[in-house]
Amino acid sequence: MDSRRRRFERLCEPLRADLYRFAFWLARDPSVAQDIVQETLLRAWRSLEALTDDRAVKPWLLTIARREHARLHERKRLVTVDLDDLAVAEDPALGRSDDHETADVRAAILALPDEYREPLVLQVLMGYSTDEIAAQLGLTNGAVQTRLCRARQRLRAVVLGRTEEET
Amino acid sequence: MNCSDVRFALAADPSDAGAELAAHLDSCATCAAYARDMLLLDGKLRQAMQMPAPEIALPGGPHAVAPAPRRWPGVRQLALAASIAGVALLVGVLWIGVPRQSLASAVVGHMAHEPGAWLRQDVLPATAVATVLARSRVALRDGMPAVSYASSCWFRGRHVPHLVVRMPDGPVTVMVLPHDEVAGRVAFDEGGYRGVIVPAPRGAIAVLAREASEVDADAVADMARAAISYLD
Repeated sequence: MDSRRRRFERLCEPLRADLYRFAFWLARDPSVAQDIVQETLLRAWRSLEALTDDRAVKPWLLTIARREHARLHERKRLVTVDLDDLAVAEDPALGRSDDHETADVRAAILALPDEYREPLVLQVLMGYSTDEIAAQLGLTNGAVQTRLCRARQRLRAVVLGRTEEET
Repeated sequence: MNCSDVRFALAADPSDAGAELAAHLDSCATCAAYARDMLLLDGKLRQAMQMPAPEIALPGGPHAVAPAPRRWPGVRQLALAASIAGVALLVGVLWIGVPRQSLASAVVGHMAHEPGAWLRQDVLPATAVATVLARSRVALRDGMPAVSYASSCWFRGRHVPHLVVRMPDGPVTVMVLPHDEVAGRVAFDEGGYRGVIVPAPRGAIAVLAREASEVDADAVADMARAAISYLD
């Protein structure tokens, strides 16, 4: 195995699962998410030399994945998943939830508008700070905080059954 | 900070532990309840977002192939696809009950169950830590830094000790896993956490830090391996 491949595996292997999850929450479709990850890894492999700082591998891969998702959207005009048609219980990626509550939470996350869901996934799943999310999405920190706040307010109402007035 | 500012900050980042915010929470029961709600919600969100990921081959290997160009399928291909989907659905249904989660993913997933564990600041008395560890027939020698959280957690079918240790660079979670074997050091970086799982005299020890943390997980793992003893 050559050093280039070893470097690629060392950097990308640990991130593969999270990359798929990120792509899934972005695309809301397991098969599209797999396409995005395959294409992302292929592009990353081809342009590995462009990654000059190994510590930046995660944002680098996420940026490629976001671009690939946008490119797929633009080229194919991807069919938007209608939540009413998204059979959460029948989807292999979603149906193996531990319980009904987890499935309900997943449905609530999927129902969020894209502009709320993406920063939330970056923060909760990928562990990004609001500054890092702002850099990744090209937004101000204030805009990111507002989106995260609105996302959680909606989810608190749906998941915990509480409204802001009840606070 | 007034209540509105505090709730905005909490909803934007529930792990925000700023001094001003903490002082407000100490004096405002309503906002403190809101903070608990947000931590509870984030635990549920993290768990929900951690769905299983399929195996996707890395490119560049001897068996890797580039994705085939996509084209619109014909009727025959659609019928074939429908048959395959039917079989896949059946396999998927049969697959539901089979646990396939890797140890690293399971450890990261466990963090979602106790989101408040990281926030504890008070150092636990040694007797409290010893009581928790004893449930899993484990004890702690001298040499571990202060423990701020200790719980005997149900994990992969057994009770295991879950500790949060206060390091100079921040909190770090140590899980003692006497019943889980690993062949060698396993490093992971997923779900907003990074860490290592190392072989121990019995089973393994997992060390996790938040991804942004500067904590040296390997050093903590070495420390834990030296400090933990097994009672029988």
